[in-house]
Amino acid sequence: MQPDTFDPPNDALQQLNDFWGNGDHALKALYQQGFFNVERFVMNNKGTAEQAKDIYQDAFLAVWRNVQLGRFTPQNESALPGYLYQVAKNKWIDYLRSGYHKNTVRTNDIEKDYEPVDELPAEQSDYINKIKKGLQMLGDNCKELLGRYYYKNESLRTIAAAFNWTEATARNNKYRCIEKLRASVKK
Amino acid sequence: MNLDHNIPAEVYEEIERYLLKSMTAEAQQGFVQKLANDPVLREQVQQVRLVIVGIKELSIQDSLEGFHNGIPANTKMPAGKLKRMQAQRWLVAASVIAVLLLGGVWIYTKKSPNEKLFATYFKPDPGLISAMSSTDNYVFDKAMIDYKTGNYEEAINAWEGLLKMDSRNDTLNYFIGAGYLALKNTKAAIPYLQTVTAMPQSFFLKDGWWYLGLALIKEERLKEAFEIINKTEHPQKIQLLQELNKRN
Repeated sequence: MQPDTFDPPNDALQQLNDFWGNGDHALKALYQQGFFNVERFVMNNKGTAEQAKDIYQDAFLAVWRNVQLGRFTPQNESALPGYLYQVAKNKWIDYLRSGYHKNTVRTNDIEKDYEPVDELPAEQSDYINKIKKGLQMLGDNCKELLGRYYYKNESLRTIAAAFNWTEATARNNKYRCIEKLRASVKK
Repeated sequence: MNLDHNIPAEVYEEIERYLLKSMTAEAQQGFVQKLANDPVLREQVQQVRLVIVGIKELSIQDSLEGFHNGIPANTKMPAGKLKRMQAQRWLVAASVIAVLLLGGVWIYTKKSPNEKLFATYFKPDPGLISAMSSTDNYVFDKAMIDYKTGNYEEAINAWEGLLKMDSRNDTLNYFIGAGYLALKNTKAAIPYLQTVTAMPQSFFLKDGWWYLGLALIKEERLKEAFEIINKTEHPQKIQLLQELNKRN
């Protein structure tokens, strides 16, 4: 397992940009490129199309998270789709190994497809999940403000104009939203 | 690692500039030196970093359906093959569904008005992302996949096992309650949801209120349900309170 790193984030979007263009377009291309193989794997191994979609979306977010946190660094153009496929397969095999299926599905045949990948500590993974849940409960303004700033990389000036605020107000509101978000995660 | 630091605004902004790479080279060098000597600052950096990742990830999560719907037809599994693979199980499933539907129609018409009200407003909690099946939370994650794929009994069994080691864990109590609700076993769900809603700081407090209120409706405890639903911020809150008012 890789140790925690305190370097600036390994920016997944930037890396994807190098491969496929920019922003959402790059993520969309990665998503759409990888789905068919996962769907085929799941459906060839006792799953349905709907289950393939759910597992794939879980895997896609897990991969994105790991790239962001420097737990996986793609070394070439094919590394990221390959990693995504592996994570999705692992998740499906985990599911088949689970209690519900272990008596009804023989997993021996697909165990060879399981390759462990580097994992985020549970404490940090839980923290991110709670941040996401907290953000959904904060209300639309905070969600939009923070999404524009951190995900779309919009400047505070641009955000201020969109909300009809001053730039100082946008800065204050951003900090207040972050504080509320962090408070919502505390127990 | 402590992820609950109170971070003053100016420190937060400095960390953010570092993480978003908007510092000058000189400032970054100074910050890196501070990091080397300050373990608390290192934890604060990780905390801010996880906050930013969570915010970005939610934006992406919100985009996934759009990505999926935009998959060109020729990159999905060919319809013919898909049909062949699924034909057998559909034949079996269709007969089961037919029986269930017939039964369902009969059961629905036998439902009390409050059971119907519950059925109208209840949608199972979508669950959490199960990230990477790490060793520490492998059991939890595996159960979450079960939950999200409708195997609620399996999920509940696993989580109840974990709860024995940490009976006040709000996440476990919440999702066990949510699992029982998805099985329409409101009697079993209520104590778990009550545990969650007795924790004012719980992250699942508001959702817990909503589901507890729905469970109480199904159990015909309408006065309690009204009070609980009134505490939520659910988008359907007003509509449901109006329905309850009509019944009182």
